[in-house]
Amino acid sequence: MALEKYYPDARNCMRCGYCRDIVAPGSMGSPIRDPFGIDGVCPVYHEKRFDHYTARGRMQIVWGLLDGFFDYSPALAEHAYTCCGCSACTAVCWADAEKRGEEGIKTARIMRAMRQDVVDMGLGPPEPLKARDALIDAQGNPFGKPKAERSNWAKGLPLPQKGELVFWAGCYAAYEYPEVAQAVVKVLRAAGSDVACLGDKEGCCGMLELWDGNRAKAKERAESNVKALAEAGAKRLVVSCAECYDIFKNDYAELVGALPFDVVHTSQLFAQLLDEGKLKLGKPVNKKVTYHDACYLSRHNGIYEEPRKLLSSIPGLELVETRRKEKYALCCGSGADMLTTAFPDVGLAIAKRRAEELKEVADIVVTGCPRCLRNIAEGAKAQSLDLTARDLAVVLAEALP
Amino acid sequence: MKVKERHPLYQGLANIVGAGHVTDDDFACWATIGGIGIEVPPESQLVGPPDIVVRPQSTEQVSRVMKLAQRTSTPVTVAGAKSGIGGGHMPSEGGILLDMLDMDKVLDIDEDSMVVWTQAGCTWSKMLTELERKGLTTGFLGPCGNLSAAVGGGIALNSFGVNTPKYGHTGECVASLEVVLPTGEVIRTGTRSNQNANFTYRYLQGPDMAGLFIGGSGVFGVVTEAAFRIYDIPKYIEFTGFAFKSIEAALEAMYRMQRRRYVIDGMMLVGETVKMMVPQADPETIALLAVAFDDNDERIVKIQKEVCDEIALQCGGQDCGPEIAQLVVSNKWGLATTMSMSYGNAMECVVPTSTMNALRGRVKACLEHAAAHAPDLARVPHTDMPSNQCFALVSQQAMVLVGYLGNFTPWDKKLRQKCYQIDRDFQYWRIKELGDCVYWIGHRGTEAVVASWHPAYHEFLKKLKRTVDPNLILNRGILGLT
Repeated sequence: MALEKYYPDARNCMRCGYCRDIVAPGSMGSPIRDPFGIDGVCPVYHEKRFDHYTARGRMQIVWGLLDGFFDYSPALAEHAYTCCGCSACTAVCWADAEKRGEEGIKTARIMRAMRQDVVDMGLGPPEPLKARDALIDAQGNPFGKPKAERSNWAKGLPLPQKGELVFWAGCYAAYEYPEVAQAVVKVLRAAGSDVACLGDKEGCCGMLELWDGNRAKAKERAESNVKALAEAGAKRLVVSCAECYDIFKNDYAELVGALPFDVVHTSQLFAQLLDEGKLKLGKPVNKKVTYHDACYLSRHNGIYEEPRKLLSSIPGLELVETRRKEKYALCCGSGADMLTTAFPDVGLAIAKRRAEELKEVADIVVTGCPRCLRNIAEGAKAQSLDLTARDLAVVLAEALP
Repeated sequence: MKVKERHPLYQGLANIVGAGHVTDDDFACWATIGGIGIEVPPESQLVGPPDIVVRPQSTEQVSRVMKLAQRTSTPVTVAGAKSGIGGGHMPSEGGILLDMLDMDKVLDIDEDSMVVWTQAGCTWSKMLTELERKGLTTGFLGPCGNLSAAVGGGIALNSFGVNTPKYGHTGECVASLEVVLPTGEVIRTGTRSNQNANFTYRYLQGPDMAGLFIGGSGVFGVVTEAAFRIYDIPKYIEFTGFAFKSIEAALEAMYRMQRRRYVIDGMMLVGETVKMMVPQADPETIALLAVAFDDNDERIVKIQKEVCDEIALQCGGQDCGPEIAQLVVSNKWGLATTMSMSYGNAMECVVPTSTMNALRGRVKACLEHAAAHAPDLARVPHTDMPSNQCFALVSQQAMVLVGYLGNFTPWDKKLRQKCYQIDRDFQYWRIKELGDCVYWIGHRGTEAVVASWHPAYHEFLKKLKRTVDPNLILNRGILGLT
């Protein structure tokens, strides 16, 4: 069982409950001062309100299950898919930090292992995710759109299919947000970078299947993608989607072995180009914007500074922060599409809360993840908030001289 | 896989609280057990998961749940944040778990009576945050689990914690309680027992019945709302710290400061704990006393500090500056949390300050005995600190000594069992034989505390219990009343 190796982690949980709702007024010096506000930590617990939705409840379930106090059931199998993987719990967890000098207990990864066992036992994933995964199988994208249309976004941008720097558009930018992919190329070219793209050879990265518990399928995709990228001569892969970035960066090596290229997110590469003086953001953008930290960029990968640095470099642009930000930012509710697909009511409820928080400080939100882009927009739309969600690359392209 | 049968009360409870607020899934029930402590199955045979979990939204719903449970003689256990060290939030016989965390509203900040009314499932932090927005605060700022602890749990245990030296334990800050009795009737204590009174004060209108429910581990009723006394947030706070070359001298200084009642909070680190917590301290320091003072008038704070400075110096203390003191006092929560992995093994005792050193000897002897039988437990987890070292949280008229059994690797079944047994033996020995007293009881302390009681006192509590809870359904197994 994939879950077994996490038994010590589950037992390490101190049951302090910080992962449920940590709020500390400053009086008499708590070391942590209100990082999440009074709305609590776990966005799913906030909606569902039972202990089994908190990280500590989930850890209790993990060791209870492994110690044989109860067995997998359809209800537990479904429950395994309710963790949105945002890792807000890990950000406040003291357990592992004290025991191992590491960050807190990585609940998101542990729940992913549980889902792997659920799939191996034939108890999952839930039907909506199965249907979505079938679309990925058939067309290489979760929308079921034709494979042949994958590179439509690049029409008019003659892009070589081979090169040392390869841009991975990802399903969302390729099919749903072509302007994001186009903006990435525009910014890179403006900074003098030669960029290639796999075109229709690009497929799904496998992230959704991996987090659904279908590791075998994710491995297949990783093998195929790495092969295609190696054939394209990639030495560096630049990714604009937070989730694609996460699986390339953190899981591919484990799935298929060491990669023949390094992986960067667009925000990292853009920031590097800015530092090197190659990227000039000279055109004023006279707007007040806020930045939403996508979970798979921020808590999962520690990318906080680069996007802010880029936005702050744009003349005329005023960057304002939300109350909950960076390590403590609220998830958009997508949960790598898992919540929005399997439990859309929960996903939307979280999106609405995040949209409200963002709207408190600005009318425009910038992010580095297309799922956040979509879910925040949905959250705003559902309550008629005048809030526009834009990708970082699109805003940067606007600032090119 | 067979289809799960619903709990016989599932529908009845769903009718009261709504289907979305009740669950009987085995894993969901299991997720509610455990706490900051070792009273956890399978090591503990005293507790287990509930059969069904209910999240009431209102006092009226709590009342209806209790009436249904009485009719069906179903055990009910009340739970708040579920992070106590006594395990009182866990059932001993399954039944219904009344999860109070949905009743988390700050209801009224009454600046006439200077009280805040809050629902019992509200966390201390949420309550304090809302008060802070109005420039107000309670005196006692919650137990060391403050960040996530619920006020109902603090009342059930009569917890001590931040600012206890000046304001007392939780109970001393309570102005009134709303309680659902085990038979479902709703009562309010103090002035609020007068149906026409529009102010909140604890000690009028007859006996102080709030006291029955404070520290009672929830056996006499379900606290649904509480009023705490509130104050202006002090504008000025000062810290001062003193290094001592003997524990006796530090205790004498603390004792004399407590008599003055100036100190709002304090901590005393002893032995190896000093080196661990304050590496910059003088190597000869055996005890480090850190205290804080506050007031809205800077002059008063200054005078209080000067008086305490004089006391400390007269007792042989060396001023080690406010920075260390601030670090130590401010980190009271942090230290407690750092140590919370071993909370289950903590040897916490409340004793008069003047007798603390004798207690320290007893704790040390016990820990050394335990370590001799289980060498793996001889160090505090993740530190080089020997487990027989300890620190003291300053209480109101007393000090709370905390020692640890260390190196508790909770995934090691044998160590867990060893640790659990040592803890039980120790608690029994010190409470029953040595006369130590504890504020946390729950399931963990029941056997020892009950054994220590005068038989007439125990019988009196049993009579009370039978009177208010004729079917003995509420918080069974705790305080030896069922």
